Amino acid sequence: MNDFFKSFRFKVILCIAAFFLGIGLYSVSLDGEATLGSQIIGSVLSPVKKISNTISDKVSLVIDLFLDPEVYVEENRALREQVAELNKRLVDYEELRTEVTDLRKFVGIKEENEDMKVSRPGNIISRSTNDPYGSFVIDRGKKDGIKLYDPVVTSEGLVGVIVEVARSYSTVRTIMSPDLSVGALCVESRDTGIVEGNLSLAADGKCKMIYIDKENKIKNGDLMITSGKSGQFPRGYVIGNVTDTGIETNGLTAYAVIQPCVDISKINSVMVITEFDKSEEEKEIPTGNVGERKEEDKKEDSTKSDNENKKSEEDSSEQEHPDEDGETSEGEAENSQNNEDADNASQDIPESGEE
Amino acid sequence: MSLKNMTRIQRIRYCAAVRWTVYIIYLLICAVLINTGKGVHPIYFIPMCICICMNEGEYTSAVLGGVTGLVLDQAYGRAFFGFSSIILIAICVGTTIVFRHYLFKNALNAVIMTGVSVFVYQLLDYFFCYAMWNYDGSGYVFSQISVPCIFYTIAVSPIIYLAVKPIVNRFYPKKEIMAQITMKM
Repeated sequence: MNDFFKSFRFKVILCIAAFFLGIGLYSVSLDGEATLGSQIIGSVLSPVKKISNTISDKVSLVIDLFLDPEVYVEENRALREQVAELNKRLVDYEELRTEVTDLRKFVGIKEENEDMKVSRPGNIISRSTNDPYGSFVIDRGKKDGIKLYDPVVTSEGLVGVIVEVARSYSTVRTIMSPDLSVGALCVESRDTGIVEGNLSLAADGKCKMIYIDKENKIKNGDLMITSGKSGQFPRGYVIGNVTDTGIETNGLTAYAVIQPCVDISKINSVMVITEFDKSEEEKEIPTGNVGERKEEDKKEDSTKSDNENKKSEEDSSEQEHPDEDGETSEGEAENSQNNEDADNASQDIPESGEE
Repeated sequence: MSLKNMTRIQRIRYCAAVRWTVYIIYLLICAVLINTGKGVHPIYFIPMCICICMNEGEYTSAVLGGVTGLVLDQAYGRAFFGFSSIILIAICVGTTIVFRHYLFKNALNAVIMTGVSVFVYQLLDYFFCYAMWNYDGSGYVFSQISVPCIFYTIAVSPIIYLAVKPIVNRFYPKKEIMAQITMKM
């Protein structure tokens, strides 16, 4: 045995090990770009993995159907109730949509997601082995315009971010990973914080919102969306609902446990946002278009009011109203009141738009 | 040309080609299995490498460990692409040396070697990927992922041994095996 460690063979084996260590260090230095070795192995295995996962999903679905039919019956019943409820809401929604469209036109806010470029839906070809955070590989890569750290979403909400990109596949890190931080905003209370993964919560498919102000108004069931502050994620994407709240052990900040709207363990396809306007938030704040519009409205209103005043002055002179100044000042007061209302409205509208 | 008509060198080459073709197919099957489905998977590559390296030389074992490690890292989606390679090179070369000098090539020894190797691998994986970064609840990973993974891998190792053994019996130069056994005696 000792002879082996002194032998030429051992030195050669050390060289082989050093070679693979070099590959490892090189891969780390690439910062998310797939190495040639990884790309070769990935490209060879991708089609096989795709087929095997499709078969595996179908087989596990059939097995599930036989083993747990009650769960599906219950889920079906709950979904039927939800559909009925949603149909009722749809009527209100249509009315609201018309109203919102009019208001958007009024304040000049761009239609939501207008500036986003989304990739074609990518199928999950494999899930990272024994990964507690549910990372997975999709069959979309550089050739589909995907870049490192692009947000990954479904129609239900945010899933994660691209952390490794090759030509024909990409690896997605989910929001349940502690290595991913997402700026979040509570729709109901407007409290902000950071959504991060947590190992113990990842087991239940949940994540944690941290750094929340202690004096927050977050309650169970509240909806969390992306705040868009970091510029890494588009603003207003649904993250999940609050299931629990509390104060951190340090006593300085609060936390909330989030149940993501997307069930990451069950999704089969996702979309990647390859481009979005990172300055969207600034545009939505009522300082740009809205402010200009407000000034224009004020001018229009004031000219209208002036005309009306002139008319009323003429009328008053005709209809025996001696106090012309008083009439004018009342008109101005009304106009200023109108302007204030308009100000308030224009300030509120983006707020609702954000929501 | 039939096997009987071949020269010794030709026979050795033919056996090696067939043997490695089957091994590569086995490794591909392992790669597919480890990438398929959800939940905790056994690391099929470790018993497979041990069963193969029991009968191979050090160089072959080192290369096999390195390449298999890359495939395993690809399945795990590791940022440090080559982490498993270094561990598997040590495991494979260690297996070759231990089985050449100290252990008989049988199923029980293969299972024991698999158990030790997968335990070491999981321990290093847990330490470098979770414990070292001080994540909240990292103990959960060890109890809910690493430990089941160790048991599942040990459980599949006899099956893999039984799958590899016929290939070794049929396509390995018998004289060499006998020479090794004599050396150990």
